[in-house]
Amino acid sequence: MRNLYITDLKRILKDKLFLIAAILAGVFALINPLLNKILFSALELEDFLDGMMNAKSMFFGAFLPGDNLGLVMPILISIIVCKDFSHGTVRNKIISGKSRGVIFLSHFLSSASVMCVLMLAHALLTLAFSLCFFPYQSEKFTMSDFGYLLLSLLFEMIVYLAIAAIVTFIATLSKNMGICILLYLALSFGLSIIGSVFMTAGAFLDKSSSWFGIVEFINALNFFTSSLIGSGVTYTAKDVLYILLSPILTIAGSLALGIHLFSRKDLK
Amino acid sequence: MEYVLVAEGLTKSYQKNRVLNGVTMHIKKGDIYGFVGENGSGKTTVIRLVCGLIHADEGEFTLFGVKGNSPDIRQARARVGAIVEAPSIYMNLSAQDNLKMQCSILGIKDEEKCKETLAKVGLFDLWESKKHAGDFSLGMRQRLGIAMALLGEPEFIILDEPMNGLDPAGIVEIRELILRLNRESGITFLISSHILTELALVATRYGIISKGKILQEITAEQLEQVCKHTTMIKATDNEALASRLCALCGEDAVTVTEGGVCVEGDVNLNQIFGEIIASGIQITAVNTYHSSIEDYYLSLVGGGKHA
Repeated sequence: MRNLYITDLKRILKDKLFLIAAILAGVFALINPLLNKILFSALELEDFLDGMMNAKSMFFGAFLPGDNLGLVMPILISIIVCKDFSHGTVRNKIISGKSRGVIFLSHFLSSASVMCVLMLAHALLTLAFSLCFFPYQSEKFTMSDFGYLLLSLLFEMIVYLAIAAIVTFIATLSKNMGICILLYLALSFGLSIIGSVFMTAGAFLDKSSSWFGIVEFINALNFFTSSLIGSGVTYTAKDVLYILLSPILTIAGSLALGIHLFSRKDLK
Repeated sequence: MEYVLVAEGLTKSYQKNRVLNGVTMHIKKGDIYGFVGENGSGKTTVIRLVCGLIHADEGEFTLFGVKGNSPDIRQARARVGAIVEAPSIYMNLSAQDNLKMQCSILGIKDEEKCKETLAKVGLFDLWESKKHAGDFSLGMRQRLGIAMALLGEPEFIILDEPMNGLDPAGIVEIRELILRLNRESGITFLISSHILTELALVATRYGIISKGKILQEITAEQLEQVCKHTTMIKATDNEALASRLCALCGEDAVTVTEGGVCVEGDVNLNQIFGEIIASGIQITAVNTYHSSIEDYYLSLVGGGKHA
Protein backbone atom coordinates (compact mmCIF):
# COMPACT_ATOMS: atom_id res chain seq x y z
CA MET A 1 0.00 0.00 0.00
CA ARG A 2 2.81 2.38 0.96
CA ASN A 3 4.65 1.78 -2.33
CA LEU A 4 1.53 2.41 -4.37
CA TYR A 5 0.63 5.53 -2.39
CA ILE A 6 4.12 6.98 -2.94
CA THR A 7 3.95 6.10 -6.65
CA ASP A 8 0.55 7.74 -7.10
CA LEU A 9 1.63 10.79 -5.14
CA LYS A 10 4.76 11.15 -7.33
CA ARG A 11 2.61 10.69 -10.42
CA ILE A 12 0.31 13.54 -9.39
CA LEU A 13 3.17 15.83 -8.38
CA LYS A 14 4.98 15.25 -11.69
CA ASP A 15 1.88 16.02 -13.74
CA LYS A 16 1.59 19.45 -15.38
CA LEU A 17 -2.00 19.68 -14.17
CA PHE A 18 -0.74 19.72 -10.59
CA LEU A 19 1.44 22.70 -11.44
CA ILE A 20 -1.60 24.41 -12.97
CA ALA A 21 -3.62 23.67 -9.82
CA ALA A 22 -0.83 25.07 -7.62
CA ILE A 23 -0.60 28.26 -9.73
CA LEU A 24 -4.38 28.66 -9.62
CA ALA A 25 -4.28 28.22 -5.84
CA GLY A 26 -1.97 31.24 -5.63
CA VAL A 27 -3.76 33.32 -8.27
CA PHE A 28 -7.25 32.81 -6.79
CA ALA A 29 -5.90 33.53 -3.30
CA LEU A 30 -4.61 36.92 -4.49
CA ILE A 31 -7.43 37.85 -6.84
CA ASN A 32 -10.39 37.27 -4.53
CA PRO A 33 -9.40 39.65 -1.71
CA LEU A 34 -8.04 42.16 -4.22
CA LEU A 35 -11.23 42.20 -6.30
CA ASN A 36 -13.34 42.58 -3.18
CA LYS A 37 -11.19 45.50 -2.01
CA ILE A 38 -11.33 47.21 -5.42
CA LEU A 39 -15.06 46.62 -5.74
CA PHE A 40 -15.86 47.91 -2.25
CA SER A 41 -13.65 50.98 -2.70
CA ALA A 42 -15.09 51.76 -6.12
CA LEU A 43 -18.66 51.48 -4.89
CA GLU A 44 -17.80 53.28 -1.63
CA LEU A 45 -19.36 50.46 0.36
CA GLU A 46 -16.55 50.03 2.87
CA ASP A 47 -18.30 51.87 5.71
CA PHE A 48 -21.66 50.35 4.89
CA LEU A 49 -20.28 46.79 4.88
CA ASP A 50 -17.91 47.35 7.79
CA GLY A 51 -17.77 44.11 9.72
CA MET A 52 -19.61 42.10 7.09
CA MET A 53 -16.66 41.57 4.79
CA ASN A 54 -13.67 40.24 6.69
CA ALA A 55 -10.68 37.95 6.30
CA LYS A 56 -12.42 35.17 8.23
CA SER A 57 -15.31 34.93 5.75
CA MET A 58 -12.88 35.03 2.84
CA PHE A 59 -10.77 32.32 4.43
CA PHE A 60 -13.73 29.94 4.81
CA GLY A 61 -15.15 31.02 1.46
CA ALA A 62 -11.89 29.77 -0.13
CA PHE A 63 -12.90 26.22 0.78
CA LEU A 64 -16.29 26.32 -1.00
CA PRO A 65 -16.42 23.27 -3.31
CA GLY A 66 -18.54 25.03 -5.93
CA ASP A 67 -16.27 28.08 -6.31
CA ASN A 68 -12.88 28.85 -7.87
CA LEU A 69 -10.25 26.34 -6.80
CA GLY A 70 -12.82 24.22 -4.98
CA LEU A 71 -14.44 23.53 -8.34
CA VAL A 72 -11.35 23.39 -10.58
CA MET A 73 -9.04 21.27 -8.44
CA PRO A 74 -11.19 18.13 -8.08
CA ILE A 75 -11.57 18.17 -11.86
CA LEU A 76 -7.81 18.46 -12.42
CA ILE A 77 -7.13 15.70 -9.91
CA SER A 78 -9.78 13.45 -11.47
CA ILE A 79 -8.08 13.90 -14.86
CA ILE A 80 -4.77 12.79 -13.33
CA VAL A 81 -6.47 9.72 -11.80
CA CYS A 82 -8.07 8.92 -15.18
CA LYS A 83 -4.64 9.06 -16.83
CA ASP A 84 -3.66 5.93 -14.89
CA PHE A 85 -6.31 4.14 -16.94
CA SER A 86 -5.90 5.95 -20.26
CA HIS A 87 -2.11 5.35 -20.23
CA GLY A 88 -2.74 1.76 -19.14
CA THR A 89 -0.31 2.16 -16.23
CA VAL A 90 -2.86 0.71 -13.81
CA ARG A 91 -2.08 -2.62 -15.52
CA ASN A 92 1.49 -2.46 -14.16
CA LYS A 93 0.05 -2.35 -10.64
CA ILE A 94 -2.33 -5.28 -11.17
CA ILE A 95 0.29 -7.41 -12.95
CA SER A 96 2.80 -6.74 -10.18
CA GLY A 97 0.36 -8.36 -7.77
CA LYS A 98 -1.35 -5.38 -6.11
CA SER A 99 -4.98 -5.91 -5.16
CA ARG A 100 -7.61 -3.74 -6.75
CA GLY A 101 -8.79 -2.62 -3.32
CA VAL A 102 -5.32 -1.31 -2.52
CA ILE A 103 -5.09 0.37 -5.95
CA PHE A 104 -8.42 2.14 -5.34
CA LEU A 105 -7.41 3.21 -1.83
CA SER A 106 -4.08 4.47 -3.11
CA HIS A 107 -5.84 6.59 -5.75
CA PHE A 108 -8.10 7.96 -3.03
CA LEU A 109 -5.36 8.71 -0.50
CA SER A 110 -3.03 10.34 -3.01
CA SER A 111 -5.84 12.49 -4.47
CA ALA A 112 -7.05 13.41 -0.98
CA SER A 113 -3.54 14.32 0.22
CA VAL A 114 -2.90 16.61 -2.73
CA MET A 115 -6.37 18.17 -2.56
CA CYS A 116 -6.21 18.83 1.18
CA VAL A 117 -2.71 20.32 1.05
CA LEU A 118 -3.50 22.56 -1.94
CA MET A 119 -6.84 23.70 -0.50
CA LEU A 120 -5.18 24.45 2.83
CA ALA A 121 -2.39 26.39 1.10
CA HIS A 122 -4.96 28.25 -1.01
CA ALA A 123 -7.08 29.14 2.03
CA LEU A 124 -4.06 30.25 4.10
CA LEU A 125 -2.81 32.40 1.21
CA THR A 126 -6.30 33.86 0.85
CA LEU A 127 -6.26 34.64 4.58
CA ALA A 128 -2.83 36.24 4.32
CA PHE A 129 -3.82 38.45 1.37
CA SER A 130 -7.22 39.25 2.93
CA LEU A 131 -5.54 40.45 6.12
CA CYS A 132 -3.74 43.06 4.00
CA PHE A 133 -7.10 44.68 3.19
CA PHE A 134 -9.59 43.56 5.86
CA PRO A 135 -9.55 42.70 9.56
CA TYR A 136 -9.85 39.01 10.55
CA GLN A 137 -13.20 39.74 12.23
CA SER A 138 -14.92 42.72 13.86
CA GLU A 139 -14.32 41.27 17.34
CA LYS A 140 -10.93 40.78 18.99
CA PHE A 141 -9.20 37.51 18.04
CA THR A 142 -9.02 35.23 21.10
CA MET A 143 -7.68 31.75 21.88
CA SER A 144 -11.21 30.43 21.59
CA ASP A 145 -11.32 31.83 18.02
CA PHE A 146 -8.07 30.01 17.33
CA GLY A 147 -9.57 26.73 18.58
CA TYR A 148 -12.64 27.35 16.44
CA LEU A 149 -10.39 27.99 13.42
CA LEU A 150 -8.46 24.75 13.91
CA LEU A 151 -11.65 22.73 14.38
CA SER A 152 -13.15 24.34 11.28
CA LEU A 153 -10.02 23.44 9.30
CA LEU A 154 -10.41 19.83 10.42
CA PHE A 155 -14.03 19.84 9.19
CA GLU A 156 -13.00 21.38 5.86
CA MET A 157 -10.37 18.66 5.43
CA ILE A 158 -13.01 16.00 6.08
CA VAL A 159 -15.21 17.64 3.43
CA TYR A 160 -12.32 17.46 0.96
CA LEU A 161 -11.70 13.83 1.87
CA ALA A 162 -15.33 13.21 0.86
CA ILE A 163 -14.80 15.12 -2.41
CA ALA A 164 -11.63 13.09 -3.06
CA ALA A 165 -13.64 9.91 -2.46
CA ILE A 166 -16.28 11.04 -4.99
CA VAL A 167 -13.60 12.01 -7.52
CA THR A 168 -11.81 8.65 -7.11
CA PHE A 169 -15.10 6.78 -7.43
CA ILE A 170 -16.08 8.58 -10.64
CA ALA A 171 -12.60 8.51 -12.19
CA THR A 172 -11.87 4.86 -11.37
CA LEU A 173 -15.18 3.56 -12.58
CA SER A 174 -15.66 5.77 -15.64
CA LYS A 175 -11.94 5.63 -16.61
CA ASN A 176 -12.79 8.39 -19.06
CA MET A 177 -11.67 12.00 -18.61
CA GLY A 178 -14.63 13.53 -20.48
CA ILE A 179 -17.27 11.57 -18.57
CA CYS A 180 -15.45 12.23 -15.33
CA ILE A 181 -15.39 16.02 -15.87
CA LEU A 182 -19.04 16.10 -16.92
CA LEU A 183 -20.21 14.00 -13.98
CA TYR A 184 -18.27 16.02 -11.44
CA LEU A 185 -19.46 19.34 -12.90
CA ALA A 186 -23.07 18.10 -12.89
CA LEU A 187 -22.73 16.92 -9.29
CA SER A 188 -20.99 20.07 -8.14
CA PHE A 189 -23.36 22.51 -9.87
CA GLY A 190 -26.40 20.42 -8.97
CA LEU A 191 -25.58 20.29 -5.26
CA SER A 192 -24.51 23.96 -5.18
CA ILE A 193 -27.78 25.05 -6.82
CA ILE A 194 -29.84 22.82 -4.51
CA GLY A 195 -27.88 24.26 -1.57
CA SER A 196 -28.60 27.84 -2.68
CA VAL A 197 -32.30 27.11 -3.16
CA PHE A 198 -32.63 25.56 0.29
CA MET A 199 -30.62 28.34 1.94
CA THR A 200 -32.88 30.96 0.34
CA ALA A 201 -35.96 28.97 1.38
CA GLY A 202 -34.59 28.74 4.93
CA ALA A 203 -34.25 32.54 5.11
CA PHE A 204 -37.94 32.98 4.38
CA LEU A 205 -39.22 30.27 6.74
CA ASP A 206 -40.40 30.80 10.30
CA LYS A 207 -37.71 29.38 12.57
CA SER A 208 -40.31 27.71 14.79
CA SER A 209 -41.94 25.81 11.91
CA SER A 210 -41.21 22.11 11.33
CA TRP A 211 -40.26 22.92 7.71
CA PHE A 212 -37.41 25.10 8.92
CA GLY A 213 -35.89 22.14 10.79
CA ILE A 214 -36.10 19.97 7.66
CA VAL A 215 -34.58 22.66 5.43
CA GLU A 216 -31.85 23.31 8.00
CA PHE A 217 -31.04 19.58 8.14
CA ILE A 218 -30.89 19.27 4.32
CA ASN A 219 -28.68 22.37 4.16
CA ALA A 220 -26.35 20.98 6.77
CA LEU A 221 -26.04 17.65 4.93
CA ASN A 222 -25.06 19.36 1.68
CA PHE A 223 -21.32 19.75 2.16
CA PHE A 224 -20.99 21.46 -1.20
CA THR A 225 -22.34 24.60 0.48
CA SER A 226 -20.79 23.89 3.90
CA SER A 227 -23.08 26.47 5.50
CA LEU A 228 -22.25 25.44 9.05
CA ILE A 229 -18.46 25.46 8.80
CA GLY A 230 -16.81 28.73 9.84
CA SER A 231 -20.05 30.70 9.97
CA GLY A 232 -20.21 31.17 13.76
CA VAL A 233 -17.92 31.33 16.77
CA THR A 234 -18.53 27.91 18.34
CA TYR A 235 -19.93 24.53 17.31
CA THR A 236 -22.77 22.79 19.14
CA ALA A 237 -22.89 18.97 19.29
CA LYS A 238 -25.73 19.13 16.72
CA ASP A 239 -23.56 21.24 14.40
CA VAL A 240 -20.71 18.72 14.60
CA LEU A 241 -23.09 15.84 13.90
CA TYR A 242 -24.63 17.64 10.92
CA ILE A 243 -21.24 18.68 9.54
CA LEU A 244 -19.65 15.22 9.82
CA LEU A 245 -22.59 12.99 8.94
CA SER A 246 -22.75 13.37 5.16
CA PRO A 247 -18.97 13.57 4.43
CA ILE A 248 -18.27 10.47 6.50
CA LEU A 249 -21.16 8.58 4.90
CA THR A 250 -19.94 9.74 1.48
CA ILE A 251 -16.38 8.56 2.17
CA ALA A 252 -17.53 5.19 3.52
CA GLY A 253 -20.05 4.66 0.70
CA SER A 254 -17.73 5.76 -2.12
CA LEU A 255 -14.85 3.61 -0.88
CA ALA A 256 -16.92 0.50 -0.13
CA LEU A 257 -18.93 0.64 -3.35
CA GLY A 258 -15.94 1.81 -5.39
CA ILE A 259 -13.69 -1.05 -4.24
CA HIS A 260 -16.51 -3.57 -4.74
CA LEU A 261 -17.29 -2.41 -8.30
CA PHE A 262 -13.65 -1.89 -9.29
CA SER A 263 -12.75 -5.41 -8.13
CA ARG A 264 -15.37 -6.88 -10.47
CA LYS A 265 -14.61 -4.62 -13.42
CA ASP A 266 -12.82 -5.84 -16.54
CA LEU A 267 -9.91 -3.64 -17.56
CA LYS A 268 -8.48 -3.22 -21.03
CA MET B 1 7.73 -31.27 -15.56
CA GLU B 2 7.07 -27.97 -13.83
CA TYR B 3 4.36 -25.85 -15.44
CA VAL B 4 4.35 -22.07 -15.21
CA LEU B 5 0.86 -21.71 -16.64
CA VAL B 6 -1.91 -24.23 -17.11
CA ALA B 7 -5.31 -23.12 -18.38
CA GLU B 8 -8.32 -25.43 -18.48
CA GLY B 9 -11.52 -24.59 -20.34
CA LEU B 10 -11.32 -20.80 -20.07
CA THR B 11 -14.36 -19.06 -21.48
CA LYS B 12 -15.07 -15.37 -21.69
CA SER B 13 -17.90 -13.43 -23.29
CA TYR B 14 -18.37 -9.71 -23.80
CA GLN B 15 -22.13 -9.27 -23.76
CA LYS B 16 -23.30 -11.91 -26.24
CA ASN B 17 -19.99 -12.20 -28.04
CA ARG B 18 -18.09 -15.31 -26.88
CA VAL B 19 -14.40 -14.45 -27.20
CA LEU B 20 -12.90 -17.50 -25.51
CA ASN B 21 -14.49 -20.88 -25.96
CA GLY B 22 -12.80 -23.30 -23.57
CA VAL B 23 -9.12 -22.43 -23.92
CA THR B 24 -6.79 -25.12 -22.60
CA MET B 25 -3.06 -24.50 -22.71
CA HIS B 26 0.13 -25.57 -20.97
CA ILE B 27 3.33 -23.57 -20.64
CA LYS B 28 6.31 -25.38 -19.16
CA LYS B 29 9.10 -23.70 -17.23
CA GLY B 30 11.77 -22.53 -19.66
CA ASP B 31 9.45 -22.49 -22.69
CA ILE B 32 9.35 -19.69 -25.19
CA TYR B 33 5.69 -20.20 -26.00
CA GLY B 34 4.62 -18.72 -29.31
CA PHE B 35 0.96 -17.80 -29.13
CA VAL B 36 -0.34 -17.76 -32.67
CA GLY B 37 -3.75 -16.73 -33.90
CA GLU B 38 -5.61 -14.44 -36.24
CA ASN B 39 -6.94 -11.01 -35.17
CA GLY B 40 -9.78 -11.49 -32.71
CA SER B 41 -8.88 -15.13 -32.06
CA GLY B 42 -8.63 -14.47 -28.30
CA LYS B 43 -4.87 -14.20 -27.73
CA THR B 44 -5.01 -10.88 -25.88
CA THR B 45 -8.08 -11.98 -23.92
CA VAL B 46 -6.18 -15.02 -22.61
CA ILE B 47 -3.26 -12.75 -21.69
CA ARG B 48 -5.57 -10.30 -19.93
CA LEU B 49 -7.13 -13.15 -17.96
CA VAL B 50 -3.76 -14.46 -16.83
CA CYS B 51 -2.63 -10.95 -15.87
CA GLY B 52 -5.76 -10.41 -13.76
CA LEU B 53 -7.15 -7.58 -15.85
CA ILE B 54 -10.38 -9.43 -16.63
CA HIS B 55 -12.30 -12.28 -15.05
CA ALA B 56 -13.15 -15.62 -16.69
CA ASP B 57 -16.78 -16.68 -17.03
CA GLU B 58 -15.87 -20.37 -16.74
CA GLY B 59 -12.78 -22.49 -16.46
CA GLU B 60 -9.67 -21.88 -14.45
CA PHE B 61 -5.93 -21.43 -14.73
CA THR B 62 -3.00 -21.98 -12.45
CA LEU B 63 0.02 -19.70 -12.45
CA PHE B 64 3.13 -21.17 -10.81
CA GLY B 65 0.81 -23.79 -9.35
CA VAL B 66 -1.51 -21.20 -7.77
CA LYS B 67 -5.15 -21.24 -8.87
CA GLY B 68 -6.39 -18.08 -10.57
CA ASN B 69 -9.26 -17.67 -8.10
CA SER B 70 -7.07 -18.15 -5.03
CA PRO B 71 -6.14 -15.11 -2.91
CA ASP B 72 -2.48 -16.17 -3.35
CA ILE B 73 -2.65 -15.50 -7.08
CA ARG B 74 -1.33 -11.98 -6.43
CA GLN B 75 1.94 -13.40 -5.09
CA ALA B 76 2.19 -15.56 -8.21
CA ARG B 77 1.53 -12.53 -10.42
CA ALA B 78 4.37 -10.69 -8.72
CA ARG B 79 6.63 -13.22 -10.52
CA VAL B 80 5.26 -12.11 -13.89
CA GLY B 81 6.24 -9.22 -16.16
CA ALA B 82 3.95 -8.31 -19.02
CA ILE B 83 3.17 -6.02 -21.89
CA VAL B 84 -0.50 -6.28 -22.78
CA GLU B 85 -1.37 -4.83 -26.21
CA ALA B 86 0.54 -1.55 -25.82
CA PRO B 87 3.35 -0.75 -23.37
CA SER B 88 1.93 0.68 -20.13
CA ILE B 89 4.05 3.77 -19.71
CA TYR B 90 3.54 7.28 -18.37
CA MET B 91 3.52 9.40 -21.51
CA ASN B 92 4.24 12.63 -19.61
CA LEU B 93 7.40 11.25 -18.00
CA SER B 94 10.93 10.52 -19.23
CA ALA B 95 12.30 6.98 -19.60
CA GLN B 96 14.17 7.36 -16.31
CA ASP B 97 11.09 8.59 -14.46
CA ASN B 98 8.99 5.78 -15.94
CA LEU B 99 11.43 3.19 -14.64
CA LYS B 100 11.62 4.90 -11.26
CA MET B 101 7.82 4.79 -11.05
CA GLN B 102 7.84 1.07 -11.76
CA CYS B 103 10.57 0.64 -9.13
CA SER B 104 8.37 2.53 -6.71
CA ILE B 105 5.42 0.19 -7.40
CA LEU B 106 7.65 -2.83 -6.94
CA GLY B 107 9.42 -1.39 -3.88
CA ILE B 108 12.85 -1.46 -5.57
CA LYS B 109 15.26 1.08 -4.09
CA ASP B 110 18.31 0.41 -6.28
CA GLU B 111 18.53 3.08 -9.01
CA GLU B 112 21.39 1.24 -10.74
CA LYS B 113 18.91 -1.47 -11.64
CA CYS B 114 16.94 1.02 -13.74
CA LYS B 115 20.12 1.94 -15.63
CA GLU B 116 21.03 -1.70 -16.22
CA THR B 117 17.55 -2.55 -17.44
CA LEU B 118 17.46 0.42 -19.79
CA ALA B 119 20.84 -0.68 -21.18
CA LYS B 120 19.52 -4.23 -21.65
CA VAL B 121 16.84 -3.00 -24.06
CA GLY B 122 19.23 -0.68 -25.91
CA LEU B 123 17.88 2.59 -24.55
CA PHE B 124 20.75 3.59 -22.26
CA ASP B 125 21.19 6.86 -24.19
CA LEU B 126 17.81 7.94 -22.84
CA TRP B 127 18.88 7.69 -19.19
CA GLU B 128 19.77 11.37 -18.89
CA SER B 129 17.25 12.52 -21.49
CA LYS B 130 14.32 14.64 -20.37
CA LYS B 131 12.32 13.66 -23.47
CA HIS B 132 8.83 12.45 -22.55
CA ALA B 133 7.75 8.92 -23.47
CA GLY B 134 4.87 10.49 -25.41
CA ASP B 135 7.48 11.83 -27.86
CA PHE B 136 9.18 8.43 -28.31
CA SER B 137 8.79 6.35 -31.45
CA LEU B 138 6.57 3.25 -31.20
CA GLY B 139 9.64 1.05 -31.10
CA MET B 140 11.24 3.04 -28.27
CA ARG B 141 8.02 2.83 -26.26
CA GLN B 142 7.94 -0.92 -26.88
CA ARG B 143 11.48 -1.28 -25.57
CA LEU B 144 10.76 0.92 -22.58
CA GLY B 145 7.69 -1.25 -21.85
CA ILE B 146 9.87 -4.36 -22.00
CA ALA B 147 12.39 -2.69 -19.66
CA MET B 148 9.58 -1.98 -17.18
CA ALA B 149 8.41 -5.58 -17.43
CA LEU B 150 11.95 -6.76 -16.71
CA LEU B 151 12.48 -4.58 -13.63
CA GLY B 152 10.90 -6.95 -11.14
CA GLU B 153 13.17 -9.80 -12.31
CA PRO B 154 10.18 -11.87 -13.43
CA GLU B 155 10.37 -15.61 -13.97
CA PHE B 156 7.63 -15.46 -16.59
CA ILE B 157 7.33 -12.69 -19.17
CA ILE B 158 4.22 -12.17 -21.27
CA LEU B 159 4.70 -10.11 -24.41
CA ASP B 160 1.68 -9.28 -26.52
CA GLU B 161 2.84 -8.44 -30.05
CA PRO B 162 6.30 -7.29 -28.91
CA MET B 163 7.62 -6.72 -32.43
CA ASN B 164 4.91 -4.16 -33.26
CA GLY B 165 6.41 -0.91 -34.42
CA LEU B 166 10.01 -2.08 -34.20
CA ASP B 167 12.44 -1.46 -37.03
CA PRO B 168 14.42 -4.46 -38.38
CA ALA B 169 17.36 -3.71 -36.08
CA GLY B 170 14.99 -3.39 -33.14
CA ILE B 171 13.36 -6.73 -33.97
CA VAL B 172 16.76 -8.42 -33.97
CA GLU B 173 17.70 -6.77 -30.65
CA ILE B 174 14.46 -7.82 -28.95
CA ARG B 175 14.74 -11.33 -30.37
CA GLU B 176 18.29 -11.64 -29.05
CA LEU B 177 17.20 -10.23 -25.70
CA ILE B 178 14.42 -12.83 -25.43
CA LEU B 179 16.79 -15.66 -26.34
CA ARG B 180 19.47 -14.40 -23.94
CA LEU B 181 17.05 -14.03 -21.01
CA ASN B 182 15.63 -17.48 -21.70
CA ARG B 183 19.05 -19.07 -22.01
CA GLU B 184 20.91 -17.25 -19.22
CA SER B 185 18.18 -16.59 -16.66
CA GLY B 186 15.80 -19.41 -17.52
CA ILE B 187 12.92 -16.95 -17.96
CA THR B 188 9.78 -18.46 -19.47
CA PHE B 189 8.11 -16.42 -22.22
CA LEU B 190 4.61 -16.26 -23.63
CA ILE B 191 4.83 -14.28 -26.86
CA SER B 192 1.83 -13.55 -29.02
CA SER B 193 2.64 -12.38 -32.50
CA HIS B 194 1.26 -12.05 -35.98
CA ILE B 195 4.75 -12.22 -37.43
CA LEU B 196 4.94 -16.00 -37.50
CA THR B 197 8.27 -16.18 -39.26
CA GLU B 198 9.73 -13.98 -36.52
CA LEU B 199 8.14 -16.13 -33.85
CA ALA B 200 9.62 -19.21 -35.48
CA LEU B 201 13.10 -17.83 -34.73
CA VAL B 202 12.56 -17.86 -30.97
CA ALA B 203 9.67 -20.15 -30.00
CA THR B 204 10.34 -23.57 -28.50
CA ARG B 205 6.65 -24.38 -28.31
CA TYR B 206 3.52 -23.08 -30.01
CA GLY B 207 -0.11 -22.69 -29.08
CA ILE B 208 -2.32 -22.14 -32.09
CA ILE B 209 -5.60 -20.41 -31.26
CA SER B 210 -8.53 -19.73 -33.53
CA LYS B 211 -12.03 -18.46 -32.73
CA GLY B 212 -11.41 -18.64 -29.00
CA LYS B 213 -10.18 -22.22 -28.96
CA ILE B 214 -6.69 -23.70 -28.86
CA LEU B 215 -6.43 -25.86 -32.00
CA GLN B 216 -3.07 -27.35 -31.20
CA GLU B 217 -0.08 -27.14 -28.89
CA ILE B 218 3.07 -28.28 -30.57
CA THR B 219 6.81 -28.14 -29.89
CA ALA B 220 9.18 -26.50 -32.35
CA GLU B 221 10.71 -29.93 -33.11
CA GLN B 222 7.30 -31.45 -33.83
CA LEU B 223 6.44 -28.51 -36.02
CA GLU B 224 9.69 -28.92 -37.90
CA GLN B 225 8.72 -32.51 -38.61
CA VAL B 226 5.19 -31.75 -39.74
CA CYS B 227 6.27 -28.87 -41.94
CA LYS B 228 6.95 -31.13 -44.94
CA HIS B 229 9.93 -31.00 -47.25
CA THR B 230 9.03 -31.21 -50.90
CA THR B 231 11.52 -32.05 -53.62
CA MET B 232 10.58 -31.28 -57.21
CA ILE B 233 12.57 -33.29 -59.77
CA LYS B 234 12.37 -32.74 -63.50
CA ALA B 235 13.71 -35.29 -65.96
CA THR B 236 13.75 -35.98 -69.68
CA ASP B 237 11.14 -38.71 -69.05
CA ASN B 238 8.91 -37.68 -66.17
CA GLU B 239 6.68 -40.77 -66.31
CA ALA B 240 9.63 -43.12 -65.97
CA LEU B 241 10.95 -40.89 -63.20
CA ALA B 242 7.61 -41.06 -61.36
CA SER B 243 7.40 -44.85 -61.49
CA ARG B 244 10.99 -45.15 -60.27
CA LEU B 245 10.34 -42.69 -57.42
CA CYS B 246 7.15 -44.55 -56.44
CA ALA B 247 9.24 -47.67 -56.07
CA LEU B 248 11.85 -45.84 -54.01
CA CYS B 249 9.71 -43.52 -51.78
CA GLY B 250 6.21 -45.03 -51.87
CA GLU B 251 3.21 -44.00 -53.97
CA ASP B 252 1.72 -41.68 -51.34
CA ALA B 253 4.79 -39.44 -51.34
CA VAL B 254 4.90 -38.94 -55.11
CA THR B 255 2.79 -36.55 -57.22
CA VAL B 256 3.20 -35.87 -60.92
CA THR B 257 2.68 -32.24 -61.87
CA GLU B 258 3.17 -30.26 -65.07
CA GLY B 259 6.48 -28.96 -63.79
CA GLY B 260 7.90 -32.34 -62.82
CA VAL B 261 7.57 -34.98 -60.13
CA CYS B 262 7.09 -33.95 -56.47
CA VAL B 263 8.34 -36.05 -53.57
CA GLU B 264 7.03 -35.11 -50.13
CA GLY B 265 8.94 -35.73 -46.92
CA ASP B 266 12.62 -36.05 -46.03
CA VAL B 267 14.43 -37.98 -48.71
CA ASN B 268 18.01 -39.06 -49.15
CA LEU B 269 18.80 -37.20 -52.36
CA ASN B 270 22.16 -38.92 -52.89
CA GLN B 271 20.57 -42.34 -52.78
CA ILE B 272 17.60 -41.35 -54.99
CA PHE B 273 19.74 -39.59 -57.58
CA GLY B 274 22.08 -42.59 -57.69
CA GLU B 275 19.18 -44.97 -58.30
CA ILE B 276 17.56 -42.72 -60.95
CA ILE B 277 20.78 -42.18 -62.87
CA ALA B 278 21.51 -45.89 -62.68
CA SER B 279 18.08 -46.47 -64.32
CA GLY B 280 19.18 -44.33 -67.25
CA ILE B 281 16.85 -41.40 -66.53
CA GLN B 282 18.42 -38.00 -67.12
CA ILE B 283 17.64 -35.37 -64.44
CA THR B 284 17.26 -31.83 -65.86
CA ALA B 285 16.28 -29.83 -62.72
CA VAL B 286 15.92 -30.23 -58.94
CA ASN B 287 14.20 -27.85 -56.50
CA THR B 288 13.60 -28.38 -52.78
CA TYR B 289 10.87 -26.61 -50.79
CA HIS B 290 10.14 -26.47 -47.06
CA SER B 291 6.67 -25.44 -45.89
CA SER B 292 6.75 -22.76 -43.21
CA ILE B 293 4.94 -22.25 -39.90
CA GLU B 294 2.66 -19.90 -41.83
CA ASP B 295 1.69 -22.68 -44.22
CA TYR B 296 1.10 -25.02 -41.31
CA TYR B 297 -0.94 -22.42 -39.44
CA LEU B 298 -3.09 -21.74 -42.49
CA SER B 299 -3.65 -25.45 -43.05
CA LEU B 300 -4.76 -25.79 -39.44
CA VAL B 301 -7.17 -22.85 -39.35
CA GLY B 302 -8.41 -23.56 -42.85
CA GLY B 303 -7.19 -20.27 -44.27
CA GLY B 304 -5.26 -21.77 -47.16
CA LYS B 305 -3.81 -24.88 -48.66
CA HIS B 306 -1.10 -26.68 -46.78
CA ALA B 307 1.87 -26.94 -49.08
